[in-house]
Amino acid sequence: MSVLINRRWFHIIMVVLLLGAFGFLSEGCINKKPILIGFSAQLTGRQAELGVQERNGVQLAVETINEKGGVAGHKIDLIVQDDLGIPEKAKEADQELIKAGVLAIIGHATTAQAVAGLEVTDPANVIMLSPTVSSPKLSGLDDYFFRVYPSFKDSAQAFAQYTYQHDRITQLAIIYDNDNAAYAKTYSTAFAEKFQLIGGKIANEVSFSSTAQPDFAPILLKLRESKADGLLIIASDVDTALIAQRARLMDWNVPLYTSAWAQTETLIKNGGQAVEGLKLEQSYAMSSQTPVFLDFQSRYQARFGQDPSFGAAFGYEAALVLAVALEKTDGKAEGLRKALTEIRDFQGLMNTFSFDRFGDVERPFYLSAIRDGKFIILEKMTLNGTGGK
Amino acid sequence: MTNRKDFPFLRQVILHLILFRLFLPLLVLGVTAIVGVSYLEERNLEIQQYQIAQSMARIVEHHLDQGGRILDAVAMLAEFSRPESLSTYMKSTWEAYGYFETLYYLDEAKKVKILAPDDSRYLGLDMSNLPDIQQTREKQSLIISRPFISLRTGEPTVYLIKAVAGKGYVVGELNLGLFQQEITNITGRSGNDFVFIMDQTGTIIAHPSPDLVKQQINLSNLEIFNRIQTGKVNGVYLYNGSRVLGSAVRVERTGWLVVNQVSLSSFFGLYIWILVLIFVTTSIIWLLLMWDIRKQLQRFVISPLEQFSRVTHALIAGNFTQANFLTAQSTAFAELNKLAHDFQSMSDTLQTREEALYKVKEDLEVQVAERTQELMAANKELQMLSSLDGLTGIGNRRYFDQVLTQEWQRGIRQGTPLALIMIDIDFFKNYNDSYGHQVGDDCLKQVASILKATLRRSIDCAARYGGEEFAAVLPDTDAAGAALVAEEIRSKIEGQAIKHESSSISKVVTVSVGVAAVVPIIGSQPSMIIKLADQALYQAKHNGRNRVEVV
Repeated sequence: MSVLINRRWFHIIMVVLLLGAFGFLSEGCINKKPILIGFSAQLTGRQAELGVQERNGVQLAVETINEKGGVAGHKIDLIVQDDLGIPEKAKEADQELIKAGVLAIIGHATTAQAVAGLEVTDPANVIMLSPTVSSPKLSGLDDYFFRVYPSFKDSAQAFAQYTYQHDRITQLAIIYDNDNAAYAKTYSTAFAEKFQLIGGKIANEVSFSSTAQPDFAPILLKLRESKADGLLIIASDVDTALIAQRARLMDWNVPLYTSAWAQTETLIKNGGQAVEGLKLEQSYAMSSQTPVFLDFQSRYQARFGQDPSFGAAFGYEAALVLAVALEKTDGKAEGLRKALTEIRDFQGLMNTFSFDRFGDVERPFYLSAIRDGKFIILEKMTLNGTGGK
Repeated sequence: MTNRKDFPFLRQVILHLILFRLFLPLLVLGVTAIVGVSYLEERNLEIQQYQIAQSMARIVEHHLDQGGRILDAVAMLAEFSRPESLSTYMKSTWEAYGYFETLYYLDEAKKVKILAPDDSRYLGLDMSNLPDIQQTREKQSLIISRPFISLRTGEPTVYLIKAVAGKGYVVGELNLGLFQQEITNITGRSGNDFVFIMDQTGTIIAHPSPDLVKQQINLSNLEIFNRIQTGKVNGVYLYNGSRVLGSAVRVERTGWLVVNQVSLSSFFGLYIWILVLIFVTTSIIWLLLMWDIRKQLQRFVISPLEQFSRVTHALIAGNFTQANFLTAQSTAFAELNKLAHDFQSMSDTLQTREEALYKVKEDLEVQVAERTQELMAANKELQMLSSLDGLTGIGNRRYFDQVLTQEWQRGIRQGTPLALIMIDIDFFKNYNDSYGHQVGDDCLKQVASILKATLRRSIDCAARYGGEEFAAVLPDTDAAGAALVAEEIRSKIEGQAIKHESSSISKVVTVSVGVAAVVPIIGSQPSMIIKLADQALYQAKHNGRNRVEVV
């Protein structure tokens, strides 16, 4: 019976067809369920640059981790939310992320949004790990808030000390963005207290609302009238740039100081010559030559076509340290807080750091300035040992 | 029956034939055709995609050209006219075209001298650090900056910068929403296309999701971004976790990348649905076909064949009654029909022959039976003849011996008496001499007849002992009983009054009778009673004949 094809062939054909069908359908279903990590910061609008930089840093870290096989065998899925720089939106964004099932949220970029978001994340026992929030208002709280950036409690004072002792500023004017009062007002107060303590005088202090996009000319005129010999701007990059420009336009060539908040390329781009010589204190050791940091810089440059700023670096660190903690909890949310507080001497991009039991870090801070359109580090500062040259 | 394992059933054979020679080849052909068509469609799609990306790139170039022309006009005016008229002209241009978000005129130090729309907050601002503005002096042509978020509007923006000879720069702030609009148009038109634009670093300039542009998402990790660096314009890669087919075109003027991509699953989804549909429908058709073929085969081929088999078995067993069932059965095709008819006629022929044979056999059997009966009758006759006396018709000497021996044995077994009567016709020699043998024979016949008639019990036996002597065996009879019988015989014969002139004692035929009766015992011989009866007969002769003597 040559017409008969063996019954086995029939089975083989059927099995091949079925396997083909299943293989097609199950493509991509083979991997383990990914770990969901949220990111939340301001990504759109005039002040978005810091958040975008942080997002890029986190994204690069996640891509790096996933390339190496993920965390505890799981790939990380980054869910990004835009808090629009509005506290209410920050709450909504975090609510969305928690609803999506994220194990932790990296963010926010600014204090006001972080404070608002914590109202949602803390009751839900979800970790919020901020790359750049530095207000001491959030220090020493036994909550789910962590950060890789140190509180400005010491650095603001050291900065005040520097302006008074080194730059010989005696009459300081302060302008701050009241929309991020949790940061800006606190910074202003911390700075002013120290400045006054060591003998300086606060000539004037004014606040503004950045969302209103005010004309800074009349505000600055008022400040100039107070005979200030130094101006501290506590505002976002664009507002700092505009204030600096406006001051110079008025021929008010007073020394300018700002906080780490404004530390982005946007400040330089929009500040033009006006921000040349502007000084700030911050924790980003941009001139670090450690191999880890150089590697990060080159990979960031390759990935995003520009140099990383401090937001990118701290975002990257935040994602890395979170991944290490998640590795310890085997990719689960349970015990994540404990795992984070137990992290000691974590090798960051520029130096090592450890979380204390409140989720805060102690890291070195530096006196920086803008020179020739670039941020440079002038010196490392300590609270009591700063003394110029 | 043992061949069943080696040979498949007809149904299997036919279903295999249909499956492998018809059904699967057709299915494979269909699948190959669909795969082929989808491949060709995919090639077509690549070309189409590329063309759409190209046209998008041309649209982008066109917009930039238009921006360039507007800036050229403004620059021209800036070169040759006074600032007041420039301000007016810029304002009217800004209003008339609505093309730029903002128009700036910068002085040599790159500070804002004039801007449209008028906004005092930005007058005098130093823009020297804005992206790509530094290099403008060297090149006299149009410079297009990298995208960034506008200080003034907070929107994603690029600057078009034109140097004014010796007098600064004109800068147009172009909102990327313009390209967004074009992308929405193109995406809305074709439905399938997913077009977006990246700058030379991978940052999104325009995208169907505008938020990605505002959030300055960078997609330099997309494979297509790297492929275009190596000169390839098409690629299949992962986008947002799903596989897409993308084509990319570079906008020569800016180095931007227009990407048009189609989700492979949505494109191939159609073909996969067709394939699934084909598999499902063919499976259903196959099942129906199998079911129908089975049914039809069963009805028109297998059932008749099985019927053949049964009828053949019946034929072997000699049963012809089922044979006509075949032609009554409906068959679907000529061959089987012919076979049925052939079989029918074969069966009929066989039946005729068998019936003829059967008839012959039956006749033979009748004849044999007849002959056997005749033979048996003859045998019986012969047997009778052999135990009867030819003349008198009563038992002969042989018969007598046989009976006596039998009864003797019975007597021994039962312990019953046995009587023997011996009869001798007196002076029979003389009778024969006087009347001749013919009459003598008649006399013998008469005596025998009387003897036979007198013995009324069926177990009694009369026989001709020899010559003119007769004997009677009376089982279960004692001497007295036997004497009575003997006396009756003697008197009846005398009473017959057969004339006997030559008798010394009487004018008629008389007989002498000797009677003996014994209870036989084991070891005794029947000859003993014969001897006793003979003695009694002798006694009767001696005592004057025509009398009975008992021992």
